[in-house]
Formats: sequence, structure tokens, C-alpha cells
Amino acid sequence: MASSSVHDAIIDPSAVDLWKTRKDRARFQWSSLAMLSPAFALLIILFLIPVGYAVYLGFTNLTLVGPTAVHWFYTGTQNLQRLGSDTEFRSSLELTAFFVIGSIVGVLIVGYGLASLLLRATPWVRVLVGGVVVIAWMMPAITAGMTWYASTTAQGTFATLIGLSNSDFLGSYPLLIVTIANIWSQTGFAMLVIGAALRNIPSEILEAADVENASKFQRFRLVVLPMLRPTMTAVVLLVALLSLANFSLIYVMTQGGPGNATNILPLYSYQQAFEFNNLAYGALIGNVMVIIAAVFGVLYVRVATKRSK
Amino acid sequence: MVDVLETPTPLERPEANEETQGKKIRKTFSNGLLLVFGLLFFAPMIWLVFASLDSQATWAVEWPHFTLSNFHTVMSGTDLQALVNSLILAIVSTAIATTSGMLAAYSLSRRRIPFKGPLLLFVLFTSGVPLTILIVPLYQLFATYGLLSIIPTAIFLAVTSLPFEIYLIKNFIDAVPEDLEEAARLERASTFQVLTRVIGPLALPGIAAAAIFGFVNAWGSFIVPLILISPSSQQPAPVAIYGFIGAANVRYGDIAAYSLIFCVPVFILYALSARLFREGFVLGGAVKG
Amino acid sequence: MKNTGLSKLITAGAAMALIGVATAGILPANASTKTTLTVAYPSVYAFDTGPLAAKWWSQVKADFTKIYPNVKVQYIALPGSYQDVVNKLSLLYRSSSTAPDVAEMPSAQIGLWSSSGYLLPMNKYLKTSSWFKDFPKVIQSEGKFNGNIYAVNDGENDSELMYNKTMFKKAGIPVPWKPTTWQDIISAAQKIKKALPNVTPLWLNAGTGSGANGLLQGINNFIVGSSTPTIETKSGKMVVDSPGIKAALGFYQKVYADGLGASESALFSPNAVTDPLTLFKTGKLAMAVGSNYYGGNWTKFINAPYWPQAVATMGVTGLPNEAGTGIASTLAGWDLAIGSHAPDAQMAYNFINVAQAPKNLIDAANWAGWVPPVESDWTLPAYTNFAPPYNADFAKVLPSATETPTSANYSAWVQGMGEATGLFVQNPKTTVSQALSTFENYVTQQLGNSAVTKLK
Repeated sequence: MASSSVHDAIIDPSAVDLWKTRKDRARFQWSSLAMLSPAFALLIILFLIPVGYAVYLGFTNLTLVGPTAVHWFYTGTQNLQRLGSDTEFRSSLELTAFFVIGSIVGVLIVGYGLASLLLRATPWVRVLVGGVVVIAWMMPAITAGMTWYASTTAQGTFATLIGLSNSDFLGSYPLLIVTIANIWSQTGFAMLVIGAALRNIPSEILEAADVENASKFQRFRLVVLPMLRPTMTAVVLLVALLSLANFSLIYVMTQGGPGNATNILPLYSYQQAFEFNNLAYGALIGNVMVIIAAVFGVLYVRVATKRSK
Repeated sequence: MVDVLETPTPLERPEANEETQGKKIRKTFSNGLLLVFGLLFFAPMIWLVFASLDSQATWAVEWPHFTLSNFHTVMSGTDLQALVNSLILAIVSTAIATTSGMLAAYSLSRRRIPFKGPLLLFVLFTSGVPLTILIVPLYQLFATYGLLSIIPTAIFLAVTSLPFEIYLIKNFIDAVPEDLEEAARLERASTFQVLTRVIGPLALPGIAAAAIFGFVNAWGSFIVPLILISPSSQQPAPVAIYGFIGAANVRYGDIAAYSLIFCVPVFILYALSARLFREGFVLGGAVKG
Repeated sequence: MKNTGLSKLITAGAAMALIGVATAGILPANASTKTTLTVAYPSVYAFDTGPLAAKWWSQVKADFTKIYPNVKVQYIALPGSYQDVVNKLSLLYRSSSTAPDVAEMPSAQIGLWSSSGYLLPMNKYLKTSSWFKDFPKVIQSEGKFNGNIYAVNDGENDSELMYNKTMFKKAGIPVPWKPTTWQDIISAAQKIKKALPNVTPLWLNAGTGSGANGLLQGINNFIVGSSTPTIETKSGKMVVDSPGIKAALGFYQKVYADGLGASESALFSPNAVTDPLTLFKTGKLAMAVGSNYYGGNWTKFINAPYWPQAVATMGVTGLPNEAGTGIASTLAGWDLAIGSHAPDAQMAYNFINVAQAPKNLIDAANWAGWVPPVESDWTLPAYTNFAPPYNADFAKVLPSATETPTSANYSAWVQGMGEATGLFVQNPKTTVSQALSTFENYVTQQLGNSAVTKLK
């Protein structure tokens, strides 16, 4: 970055900022705003404003139908009080925790495992297996949901394969099965991203570790893992947010049931808003989801900005 | 994508024979393990294949009473139109999201933006809002301005992919060394040229990944088009699939056949992009956070 | 930069295309001097199949346009399942610019939408109607709230017991079967279980998977036939404990404790309500608390599934009430209503009038699996011969059927009752008091103490 401001003025007029000639940090350029504007204009108009409105709705008494669908108003902390004593909400929180954390762990392990195995596989195996996993990821939620429903219910694929045709895995272990289905549908992307990052590790560093007679495990822990950390963190964040917002997959498989066994937050919010007509209360549950997402976001930024040595 | 850069061969050494033996065993082992995984991943899809060919399909997996009539039924007028609508929705949405996302990602990566940190964070956690709640104010907005049709919905779907796409692309642009850009600027390159000639090609795997993510997101979207698209002739495929679930009966065979057809464009996308990911990273340097 | 001219042209073209696409959604399609009537209907859920729905509605449109050529009918299709249809209509009604002039809606929602001010009372138009006076009283009052009639029925669903005559004969149960008490049902199921161990004796909807529909074709038939049939009091409170609810739960407890019902996975599947149709055909089920659309589905015309031996194999009989003095059944259907902001309410009513013409009502009944609301239709060959003997039989039950609750709080009640019945299936050792307390706690928690009540 040794160009002088005069040089810049001749080459790239937009880089000129005659009033700020500090060179120890990047200059603020108005063209940056221009580049940001399409994305942020869209985000503000079509996302932030409806989101803000939805957040506000959480503190009102709006219903989908009925008298308060038309004449609704701000009710302050009334919905919050209800949330505090709502046992169903608490149970939904626990279910969501299991689902999200389970998905993160599953995707990381399977994604990494597949990515590293694929590196060493013969080409046709790579194409076949990689292809299947990626197709699983690309399958739309409604198809994935139907497929998993058909596979895990009685007389379904898994039951028949094991030979116990009448065992109903989905009915007996609903939360576990939907978590596995979620891992199945998200691993493909993690595999792609981790694979790209693994390929990026310079071979010299790997060979250096080999020359030092490092064990496989040491090599993994001291060389590979630190270099993968940014990617893994990004994957964790992505899986966390996508799982937190996962509605369609579980809705198609179990509608939150049996009973309320898989009623994670997005489903509970939908149930309250649309099935029970409490649009405002459903929006409040949505607000809780935003807070959880924010916590993940903050954690991610913390971990990601800890520069590796 | 699956075709990766060849892992570097070890330096030739006299002990190579024993080593390559070990390597062969390990390779067979990895191949075997991979195939097992592959089968496990494929297992749920068995039902799709069987039921689509079954004239009396149910949710159970059973040897089909072979017929192609299911495929025939679902390739009819309205269902075919729904597939076309899905294509329109996904392509428009991806184009908008990836273009604006790339510009934003570059800006966030390279330029000095005030409040960049909080801005990024904000982008992130707004994606936590459940779509089903967002639908209501959004519906009112669209209804007021007469936007309850396919293109405005595609624009909204672009917005739902935007936060993730920005993050993805930004990560990959971060990995491109700045010296290359400097060199380009010294050669009188404008920002547009820097983007298309330097950053673009180098961050392409990331951009492609983001685009695929956006496409898949829009392709599979159900609730959003259901609520926001008014004319039924503009409804996309996922809504059509629900059409096979009636109050008095469920047409499983049709659902499976239609779902298979529905997966084809996505599979084509994968096949096309596999080439792309083969390039991998030409430069060294891991993906930065 | 080279080729600036070309790139400028491309950019301009793209911009224009974008603007064109954007405004296409905003500008009206075409300005016309005809009046437009907007009609919303469920495109796949209400009728037996989507194509049949399309066929019926275009038939009505053709009839209407013949009489009123200056009125353009614009259909708004409501895709998806029950909840999706309800959600979409609720959203459409929120603004007068999108609210449909005429809509087909489930009977359970009429009260909600009318209390929001979305629907127009039709009393004055119905005075001149030729068909409304032929509705049985219970169907006439389906759309009546505070003296105003907000919607008129165009097809009903009710429940009876369907049973396999061949299996019953094998088990030594006299056919035609005429149970008079709930115990009769249990005894028959027990006999089936002994004689035919590989067959599910009784299909009894349970669990939350099938939602309100599952209750309608399940436990509610027993509650409305009990000594305390009230589910929702006149003041709008939901009943969470009553002798009737206890008795109905008791019936469920006996069925599942003795292993007389279907498996958990079968009952908890989201499409459980329609599974008996296939199970009967494949000989895996002996009897079910079934609904009137069964018969039509087995015909070649509807083909869902086609079972030519249905008539010879299946018998039908009314569900006894608890006291043994008669039959009981739930009642729910689909109705037509006028939007309160309809610019031409008279024309909207004219459309409804055409839709309710005798041929259209019978076609709707046959193609959607409904009982037509007009009493004189029940003996018409066009209706009875479509799915004999079922159509005729289910129609007879209609006048004594009990309407489904319509308040917004009913959904929470449904979820709680689904959980309670599901408990018996998941653990056959569940007692009635355990199920009852789960139900009561859930509903009270969701609705608050002031919205629920107990009956002695």
C-alpha cells in the first residue's frame, strides 16, 4: 500500500480523499456505500422493517381472526408474563437445545469425516458418495421430510431393512430421528466447505509434521484443527442458525408430534400464531428465537476474531 | 467438487514399498467406509424410487407394482407449470442475492466501513426470525402495493438468502491476498475490473457455493410462495406437492414421482458445479474468519 | 474501457426489463367495464381431488356466466391443506382490497371470521332462496351467530361405524350389525381379535397427528353422544372435565388396553384419518369409526383407492350414544359466505345461489365426499346411486348430528385432547385420570383459568 495519494488521484479518482491522507488504515470510500447499498436496501426494506414490526407484534394482542384481529393494541409485558409461566415454552426450549446442539455435533463429525475420507478416495467413489451426500443436502425440505417419514415409520425402509417391519422408529424416538434427518440434510454443505478448507492446508506443513514423526492424532490436533478452525466455526454458526429456524422438515415429518415431542421453537411459534390464533404470542416466541440467534452470532464473532497464532 | 486436487505424492524413498502397501490398505479402508456412508445416506431415498414406480404406492416401502403412470400424471399441465415457476423463482432469487451479496461482501471485506462489526452481527441475527412470523407483516406490505406475485416473492426469497450468502462470500474474499488487488490497481484497474478479473475468479468456489445455497433455498421454499403468491398459476412445485395430499386421500406415488423430477434441476446444478469446485484454491492460505 | 456502447445498451436493456417486471405486478392486468366477482376456494383440500375441484368450480362459473354475462368471475385458489387454507383466507380478509367477495370456508371458522367483521349477514337474501328452507334445522344454524346468518352450507361430513361383514361373520357376530351401546363395540372388537389375530379390530383416531379432523372422526363422536355432550359452553368457555369426557376417555382406555386398536405408527401418521380406506381394502382392518366420504372414495370414479368389492364387503351402522337410546355423530362441513366489503353483495349472493343449484349440490356431494345439505336430495338417485348404500345411510344420520365448536380456543382443546388420546396408544396402561389430567392441565395452561370450566 505504498501508493501516494497523488498517484491514486491519477489512477482511480474514487480513491482520492484529499482530506484524509492517513495511510496506516484503509480510507473510507463512498463507493463502498454504493457497493453495500443493493444488499442493504433489500435487507432494510424487505427484512428489517417487517422484522421490526414482527418484534413489535410480540407485545400486542393481535390475533389472526376474531375481534382483536381488527382492533388490536399494545399490551406491554402481558405476553412476557405468559411466556414466563408457559411450561410448553420451557419444554420447547429444551427440545430446541437438543435439536440444535445435536445437529451441530453431528454435522461437524460426519462432515469432517466425509471430507477427509473423500480426499483420499478413488475418483469414482468420490463422485458417487460425494454426489449422494450433496443431493441429500440439495433436496427440498418437503421432499426430505416425506422421504424420512416414509423411511422411519413402521413398514418403512429402515424398519424393513432391519427385519423388524413393525417397529416405528419415528414414533418411538421422534426427536432423535428428526435430528438425524436434519444432520442428513445439512452435512452435504459442511462437507463441501470443510473439504475446500482441507485442500487449502499447504502440503508443506503436513509433510513437516510427518517429518517430525508426529502421530496421526497429533497431526490432526496441532496442525489440521487450528487451520480448520475458521471454517469449522463458520459451519457451526451456519448449522446452528439453519437448525434453529428449521420448520418445514419437522413439520412435514411429525407436525411437532407425537404430542409435543418435537415441538421446537419455530413449530411452537407457528402453532401459537396460526393454529391457536395467537399471532402476537407466536411473534414473541419468534423474538426469543432472534435473541438465541444473536447469542450464537456474538459467540461466533468472539471465537472468529481470536486470531490463531 | 468431489474431484479434488491430487494430494501430493510423498518424496520417493527406498522405504516406499512398505509405505505404499500401508497406503493401499488405508485407501481401501477409506473407500469401504465411504461406500458404507454413501449407502446410509442413500437409504432414505429408496422409498422415493420405489414409490414413484408403484401404481399402489403407500408410505410403506414395498416392491412396486411397476408403472410409469405416476410420472405421467405429474407431468401434466398445472404441475409442469409449477416446476417452471420454481425455476423462475429460484433463478431470479439467486441472481439478485448473489450479485448484491458479492458486492456487499467485497465491501465488507476490503473497505473500511463504520460500525462494520455491529453491522455484520445485525445481518446475522436478523436471520434468526422465523419466517412464519415474518410472513404476516410482509403479506400486508405486499398486499398494499399489489405485489402478491412471483417476481416480488423471488426478490423476498433473495433477501432470505442474503445474510448467509454475504457471510460465505466474505469468508472467501478474505482469503484472497490483497497484493493481487494492489497490483491490479497499479495497472489502472477500476473496481469493477478488480471484481470481475481478480476477486471473482479467485473467490469463485465461494461465490458458487453461495449461489447454490441461494438456489436451493429458493427452490425448496414452501410457506413463502404459498402466502405471498396470489395467482395459483404462479405457484411453485412445493405447493403443488401439497396438492397431492387431500382431505380424503394421499397420492403417495404421485408425491414420490414429482419429488424425483423436482430433484433433477438441483442435481444438474450439482453436476455443473462439480467442475467448478475441482479448481479449488490456486493460492495457498486457509479461509480466514 | 472498450465496448462501452454495447455494455451501456445491455445495462439499459436490463434496467428496463427489471422495471417492466416490477411494475407488471403493480399495474392492474386490464381495465374492463365488467364488474368482477372474486371467489376464493380450497383448490385441493375440500374436494376428493384437485382436478375434481377445478371441474366443479368451472361448472359453476359456466352456469353463472350464462345467467349473468356481464359479470366476470375471478377465482382465487387456496392451495395446501386445512391449516394453509385457513391461514390464507385469514390473511386475505385482513384488507378490503384482497378480501374475496365469496369464499368457501370450513364450518368451524365461520364464527371466528364473522366476529372479526369479515362476513356479511345474508338473512335478507335467503328469504327468497328456494333451497335454504330445505336444510335441516341443525344445518341452517351452522352459520348463524347472534341471529345473523353469515354462511350457508354446501356439503357436510358425519360419522358412522364401518365394518367388514365377512370378517364379522367369521368371528360369529350377527350381520347386519346393530350395536346399541359402547360396550357392544368393545365386545365385537374382542371377538374379532380372537377369531382374526392378524387383523386390526377397530380403527379409532387418536393422537395429535390428525388434528381437529382426527377428533371429528374419533373421540368427539363419543363425547357428543354422552350424557354431557358440551365441549364449548354458551359463554364460550371450553369444557376440560365432565362426565361425558371421562366416559369417552374410558372407552378409549378399554380399546387400547385390550389391544383392540391400530398401532402407534399407523395412528400417529399425519394422514391417519384416510388410512382406513386402504386398510379395509387390503383386508387388514375389521371396523372403523368412519366418515361419509369412504363410500365415494372406493368408487371407480374417485379411485382413492378403487375397491369394487367394497359394497359387498362393507356394512355401515350408526354410532350408538352412551345411554344406548339412539345414534350420535359429529357434524362439520364447508360453507359459502359473502365478504363484508363486497362491492355488489346481491351479485355475490347470486353466485352462491347458482352454486347451490340442485345439480351442483349433488355433484359437490359426490365429488367431495359430502352429504348435501338439502334434505330432499338424500333420496335422489343421482346421490344415492353414486356410492350405494353408504351415501343414503350417512345422510340419515345428519339431522341428529352435533355441530363442531367454533371458537378460537377450540384449537388448544383439540391439541390437548389429541395428547390425551395419544397417551392410551403410546402406553396402554395409562389410566383415565392420567389422560384426563394431562388434557386438563394442557388446555388450562394454554387458555388460562378464566376460559375453561368443568361440568358436573
